[in-house]
Amino acid sequence: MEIDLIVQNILNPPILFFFLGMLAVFLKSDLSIPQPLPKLFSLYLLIAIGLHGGYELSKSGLDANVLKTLSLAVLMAIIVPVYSFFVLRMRVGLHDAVALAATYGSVSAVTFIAGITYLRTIGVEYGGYMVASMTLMESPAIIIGLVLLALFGKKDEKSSRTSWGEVLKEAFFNSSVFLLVGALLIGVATGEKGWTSMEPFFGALFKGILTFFLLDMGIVAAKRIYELKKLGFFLIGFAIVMPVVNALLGMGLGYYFEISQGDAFLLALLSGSASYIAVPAAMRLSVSEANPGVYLPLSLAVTFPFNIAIGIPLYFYLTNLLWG
Amino acid sequence: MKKVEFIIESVYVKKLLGLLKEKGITGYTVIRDIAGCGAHGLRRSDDITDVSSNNYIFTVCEEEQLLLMRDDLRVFLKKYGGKCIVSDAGFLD
Repeated sequence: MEIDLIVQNILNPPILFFFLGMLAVFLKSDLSIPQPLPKLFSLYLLIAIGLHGGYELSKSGLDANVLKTLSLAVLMAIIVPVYSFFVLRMRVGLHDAVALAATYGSVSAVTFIAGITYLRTIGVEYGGYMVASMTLMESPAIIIGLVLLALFGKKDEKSSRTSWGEVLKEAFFNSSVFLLVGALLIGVATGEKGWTSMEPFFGALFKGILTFFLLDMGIVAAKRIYELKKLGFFLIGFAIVMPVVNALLGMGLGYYFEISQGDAFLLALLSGSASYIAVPAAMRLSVSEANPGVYLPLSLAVTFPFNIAIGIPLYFYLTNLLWG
Repeated sequence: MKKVEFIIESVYVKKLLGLLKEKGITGYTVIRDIAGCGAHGLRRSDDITDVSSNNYIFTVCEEEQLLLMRDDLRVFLKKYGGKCIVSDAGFLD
């Protein structure tokens, strides 16, 4: 892999601040970002990418290429949790396997944001509709996880499950999906005029807010690293190998169906990312037997840092090889 | 009178309050994002995800009300985890 790609990715202030946050924990610094600021930052980032994606979508419109890309995103969101579940069942109990499959079947918005920031830095174009792809990939894994549990769980368990209505509500109306869809639609409706009026806040300040958010994520991820000791090689290996497999599959599909390099890179990155907000909350409600001490540290402390440090340049390098 | 205190995960607060309401208890206090250490290890209040944060809820009720909901609370705590502490209490006149 070209070393330049890794350097370009790492030598990016927001990514370096992520590692600075981790370093603060390892060196036992008292650095912390007071709550609820990180929650505000995450809302800002969701609105910013939703609005910008909507604006881009208003320019490109919904053509066959866009629909093809969105369909591939949904396809990945459906198949990843299914095969992940069967891989996990070789070594992991039913409930943890369901929660992990859903976690890895869904996506991480911040990984996606780091990906588009990288593309902008190196000047590679991508479609604004990729924000819609990300939104579409958030929820199916939750439903698939519950279907798997219904199929493979004990009969007495099925009857005592949390109601489907509650889980579907969590899957489709959780704050991140709701805000992303809302911002995307507002971006489409207001078009260029809307984006120009919002750009000073949601465009110009984007990297600064992302830096704050990633600094906090670094602190959160590093605190969780200590929990990994109990999890063993299989799960830690899963948290690195499975995202790469998922990304390669997403990239392969993108190549086969001839989507653009930027879009395929983002599809691969999304396929290889894991949720740490929407899915864990839904899993705590619907599969309370699954241990959050397993799926949260794996997603936050292994897969997220792996993707933003190594995954992004690796997937881009591979798309470079394929798309030439 | 009894003071009933709960420490439960944030994602289950709505469910617990619903159960209390079902049993006729409509007055309560919720303190969000509490930190501490217990059987499940250290719980922080600084995560972006609500999954790892705990909430503190307390209410005061008649002993008969507590007896009526005691079994349901046990089932709830067994399923979703958390702690419930009951103590004698009274209001200052």
